[in-house]
Amino acid sequence: MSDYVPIYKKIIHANDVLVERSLPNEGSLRVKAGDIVEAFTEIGSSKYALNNFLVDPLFSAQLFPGKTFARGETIGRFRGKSVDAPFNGVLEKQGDAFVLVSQKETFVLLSGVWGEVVDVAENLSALIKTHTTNIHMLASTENSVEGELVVFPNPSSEMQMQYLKKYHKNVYKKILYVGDYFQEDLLEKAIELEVSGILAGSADRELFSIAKKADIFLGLFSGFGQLSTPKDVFSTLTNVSNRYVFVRGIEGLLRIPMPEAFDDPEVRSSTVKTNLKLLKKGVRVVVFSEDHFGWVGFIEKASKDSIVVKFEKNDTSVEVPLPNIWALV
Amino acid sequence: MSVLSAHIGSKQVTFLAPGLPKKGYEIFRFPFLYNPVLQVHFTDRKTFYTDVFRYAIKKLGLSVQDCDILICSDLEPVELDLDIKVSTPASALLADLLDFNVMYVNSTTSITPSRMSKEDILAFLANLALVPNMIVEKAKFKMYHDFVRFGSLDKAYELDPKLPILFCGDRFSSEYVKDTDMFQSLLTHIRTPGVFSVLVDMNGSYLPSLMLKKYRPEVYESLLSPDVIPTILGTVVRVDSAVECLFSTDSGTSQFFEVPRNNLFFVPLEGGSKAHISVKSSSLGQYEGTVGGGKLGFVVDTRSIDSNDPGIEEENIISYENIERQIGEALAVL
Repeated sequence: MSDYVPIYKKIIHANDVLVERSLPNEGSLRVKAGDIVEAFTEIGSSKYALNNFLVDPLFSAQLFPGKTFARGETIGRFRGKSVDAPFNGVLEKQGDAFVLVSQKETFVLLSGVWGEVVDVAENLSALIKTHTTNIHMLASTENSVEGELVVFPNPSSEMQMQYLKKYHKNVYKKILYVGDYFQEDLLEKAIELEVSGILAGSADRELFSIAKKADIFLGLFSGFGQLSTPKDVFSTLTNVSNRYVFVRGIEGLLRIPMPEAFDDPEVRSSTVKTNLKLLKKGVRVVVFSEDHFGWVGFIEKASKDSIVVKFEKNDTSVEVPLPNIWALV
Repeated sequence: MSVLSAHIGSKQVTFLAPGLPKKGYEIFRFPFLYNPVLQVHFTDRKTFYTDVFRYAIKKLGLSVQDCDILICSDLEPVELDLDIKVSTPASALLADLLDFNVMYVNSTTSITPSRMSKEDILAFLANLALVPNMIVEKAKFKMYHDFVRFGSLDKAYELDPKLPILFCGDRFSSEYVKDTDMFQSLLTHIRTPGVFSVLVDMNGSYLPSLMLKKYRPEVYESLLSPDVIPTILGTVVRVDSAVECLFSTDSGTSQFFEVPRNNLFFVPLEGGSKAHISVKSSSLGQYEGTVGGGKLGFVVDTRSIDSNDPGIEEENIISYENIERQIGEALAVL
């Protein structure tokens, strides 16, 4: 029998993380290499049209550059149906096509992170060295989003919808942590409100196809089904509600910028740590079995014949076969 | 120079270290593989397997500086920060085994309708995809676990009745799966009517030993041991109709029995013992011959051969538990 199991890092504190902050188009940057920035430091701005609408060349309409449309006004007809302007805008000729462009507004780029500017792409972007707490999601869509994190206070699934409707009317482009588990109706509502992403402990597998279709980010900390969010993940999230965060779907990571660098020698060390950990009493583990998938606990007993894990969630002790245990660090 | 032969499968890494001073050889199974879902954000495949091999080398009392490493793997070749003498796909070794019907069972593939809640099944299968080396404990999920495996073999897998069946792969060689569970899965994979001698690689050492045979034959010659040759399970009569059978042993005892359709019937027959059988069934016709015993003895399996039939419905879960109980009783006798 193996005495060692692989380690799984759920929450990683990292120094010297590079984050690129970009303007949507060319504008002006107010920082240079060496500048120290905070999350609310304005690092640049540009004039930017938030909305563009490609007008199909097959439209039956009298179109010319500079023609303006109010929201709801008919642009023309296409296959027998009238097509209305989705926003106030003006027509621009771009190549052979007409594009309805909304009024350009000033886009202000905030740093979003604490750290030092290490490089800039002139009038376009800044590369900032910062410190982040990264939380790993077991399953997520592959898109990447960023925005303000709104943490629901781990409500029951009945409360989630009320919370979304009543208390968070302004959730446009925000990232919501909604609780241990959520259902399709909440996802549909979030899509309607143009939320950027939803984080939760778990959800049904089918919601991923809906999320992908709507291009909304979906990230699960524990897995599929009805599983709880680990306690330490939830407490980390509650401490950073309303912070600007970054989600990298392809790596399954939620990156939370932190104001101070971590002083822990484990974080500062650049040497590679071993990937295995000795199983012994007191080691914190995560269990992957049918009934306790993603549950976190401590080794209560580890002998040649039996491994018993005491779960943090309900203080119960369960015997778990070895391959279903990973050391949590 | 010592040798370490390893097989990286779909659920575990099996190490075989020959030429050790006390026992002569040692087998060690590490029941984890690199899992990108859980590890890609902080480590890579090469670093992980280097740590695993260093751990195995230390545990087996070998030295990193004085060890030839031979590796075969199910998937893409593994790289290490250690010197690898030979790296080859497992399939290349299996292709050399012309004297067996080789049943190599590893993958999970298809999904089929059932009465279980769709959400439960999808969540289970999706979680299994996240952590593929998970050991499945509940009967209702075991049914599914095995049923999904059929997808990779299906009834299209035609066995040659003249050759014995050799079962290998991580499904049959984990030290954390009960024998009854493993044998249940194994029997259900035989889907061609016939009378078969059946062997299984129960500790995963067969592929590492084949590596030695091919690349270090002088070490292999000194290795011959019951632990690194497949376990003989006995003889399985596989039909999907009722069977009449006359069973006679060398000691002169005879018994006649009928096995109805959709049943499993076990007759104790120890390894090394022989019996003469005369079998009659509509799907097999008349068969007479001498068969050998083994860990399971003589088995008549009349369950449906249709790959859609095992199902995952409630009555089949009960049946699955019955079969495990029957196998447990058969193992206890021998």
